[in-house]
Order: sequence, then structure tokens, then C-alpha cells
Amino acid sequence: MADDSDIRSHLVDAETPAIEIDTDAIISRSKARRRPRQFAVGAVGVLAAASLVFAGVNTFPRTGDLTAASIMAEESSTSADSDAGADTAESYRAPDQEAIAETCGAIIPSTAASPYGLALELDLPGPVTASGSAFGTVRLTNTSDAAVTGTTAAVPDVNLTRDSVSISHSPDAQILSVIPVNLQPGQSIEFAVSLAIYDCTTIDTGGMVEPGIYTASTSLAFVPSDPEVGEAAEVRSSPSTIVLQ
Amino acid sequence: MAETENTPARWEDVVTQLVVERGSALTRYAYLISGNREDASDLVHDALVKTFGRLRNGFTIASAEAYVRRAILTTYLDRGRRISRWRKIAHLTGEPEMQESPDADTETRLDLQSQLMKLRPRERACLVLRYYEDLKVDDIAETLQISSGAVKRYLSDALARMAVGLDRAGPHDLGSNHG
Repeated sequence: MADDSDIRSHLVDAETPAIEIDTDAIISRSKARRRPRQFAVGAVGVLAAASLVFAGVNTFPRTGDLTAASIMAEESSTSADSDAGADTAESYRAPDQEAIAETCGAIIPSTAASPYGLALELDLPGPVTASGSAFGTVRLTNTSDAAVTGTTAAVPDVNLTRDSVSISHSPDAQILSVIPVNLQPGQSIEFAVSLAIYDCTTIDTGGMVEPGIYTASTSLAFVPSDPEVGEAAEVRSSPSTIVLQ
Repeated sequence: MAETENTPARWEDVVTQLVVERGSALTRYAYLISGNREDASDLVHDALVKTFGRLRNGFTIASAEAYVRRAILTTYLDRGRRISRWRKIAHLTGEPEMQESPDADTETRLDLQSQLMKLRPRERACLVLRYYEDLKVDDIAETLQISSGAVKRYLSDALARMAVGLDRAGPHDLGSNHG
């Protein structure tokens, strides 16, 4: 009679056929996966992606400093608008790779920006290993005397910088969403963030980051609900020191 | 290059070292999960590419293995349709007439293997995690991102299906302790 022990011993003792793992092929495929890729999607796909984006995203203007999320959201909706009714395929660069490519090696401003009285704080509690990931929070606080209403990207940008140059950035995935924000004076909201520690400028040779003192900062695009209040602006934290062990 | 306290390993070195040191364990896990050699090979290769095809370094062997095992499991479950197809033809590849049972143990082993091959992907995954990985129901639920109740149901269904298939024990006699 088969019972628990029979099943267990069968699984433990079962003969396993020899299976060879092709390490070279894995490394080759992994490298290919890391490179920027082109995706061809039909107009229906573009429209479907755009429909997932919060309607307010259309108000996000394109500026060099906006977050990757908002930029990608705007690009998707723009594509949808321009291709509405068309049935031809459209290709665009994978957003995650593009976001990384745009940010990697970029000069990150070293001063805080608090438009509309919004302040951004980054907290990445240590210890952080140079070969690991940093986990923490980003807090968006309304430091003004009036309520602030609008939308922000759902995930703040976080940059690890060396000599003001971004060497590691998050998020590293496509995030096509924004969230509504309604903060009374003194109120704040918190975002959970993570940052993989690697040097994107040397990724082809391993991207190792030496232990030492670096800085990290965060930024977030904000768009007021009322256009008369003002236009989109970037909220930015001041750089904070992060020690990599 | 081995990872030292202050020197993070290159991901290519981690892949190589992982395959050398833990390759057999990974292929065995994939084989038990999938039930056949070809799928196991695909699962291991795809899981390794998924794990290391991301823009990050800093994996240790242990953490990388955990990621790969997880990827094997999720990839396998994602391929449920493919596994179902395999299940439908699995009996065609068996050789029951040629497997004259020299003893009861061997017969039981063959029967178990045969019944395991016929389980649905999630049932099989739960069974392997429970009896091979020795995970408790709550841990299986967390691993598969499903409820504990669902895990118990999958285990119960799997064991009942095996018992019926074996035609030698009722469901209550087969693996009644789910931990």
C-alpha cells in the first residue's frame, strides 16, 4: 500500500535522467535578454496599453526631467492618439531598457526641488552591500499651507550616483501608471522602493560597484489637477549619503 | 570568480559556478516537477536565462539557486497547457508490458511514477513541494501564491487521484497527513 513515505521515498530516490546544462547558451541568451529589444505590437496592443494609463497622464508634458514612468505613459498615449484607426503594426523600444538607457550616466541634480510645497525624502536604511539591493521608502510630504491635488507617477525614480553621475536607477521595469494625490497641509504618502546596486556604465564588464560612499536621491513628477495652478514639475529630494559595504 | 565579502561576483561566473555546483540538483527538481526529461531541460535553461537575463548583479550561489527554483516552478505552471498535452500521451511512452515486477517495491514505484505523471500541474507541484521539498502547507501556499486551502485541496485531489489510479488504497489511506 502506497502511503506518505512511499511518495516521499519515490521522489527522493527517483532516478533522474542525465540532463546537460548548456552554460554557454544560457550566458548568450541572458546577454541577449539584457540588450535593448524592439517589440512590434499592433495598434490594438498600443491602444490596450494606453487604456491602462490613468486619463490624467495625457496632461504630463514631456520634459527632460520627468520620471521614466510618466514619459513612457505619455509616449504610449501619444502613440495611441496618432495611430487611432490605423491597423498597421507599430514598433517601439522596450520601456524598461529605454528608461535605463536614458538615465544611466546622466548627471543628477544635487539640489532639492519642492514645487507646490511638495517635499521628497528618501530613506534607504543600511547596511547596504555593494553586491546587493537597497530597500527603503520615499515619502512625499505637503509642506505648504494649502491642499495639493494632482497626479504623480506610481513609482518614484531612485538614482544611485557617483560624482553626481547616475550609475544605478530604479525602477527598471515598465510602469504605465500614475496615482492621484490629494495631500492636505502636513500630510504625506509613502512609496516602497528598491534599488539594485550595480554600475550600469560598466554593465558589459560585470557592472561591479566598489564598496564606499555614494549618494542616492529620488525624484517624482507631479501634475496639478487644476491646470491654472501650474504645470507639471519634478519633485526632487536632496542627495543623501549611502555607504556600500 | 568566487564571490568574496567585498568583491561581488560577475553574473557570468555565478551562472557557471551554479551550474557546476548545483546543476544536478536543479535538473532533478525540474524533472520531478515536470515529469519528463525534455521539459526538465527546457525548464532549467529557461529559468536560468530568466534569472540572469536581468540587469543586475550581486547574486550569490544560494540566492541565485532560490531564484532559479522559483522560476522553474512558475515556468512549469505557466506551461500547464503543454503539460496537459504531455499527460494525455504520457501513457503511450510507458512500457508496462515490459516491466515485469520482480518485487512489490518496484511495482509500487512504477505505479507511483505512472500516477504522478497523470496529475495536473498544480497538483504535481504541490506534491513535489510537500514530499520532496518538505514544505508545510502554508509554505507551499506562499511559494505558489495561493491560499492554504487551495494547497490542501490540490494535495487531497492529487492523493485521491493517485489512490484511485493505484486501485489499492482509498484517499484516506494515502498521504492523509498534509502537515
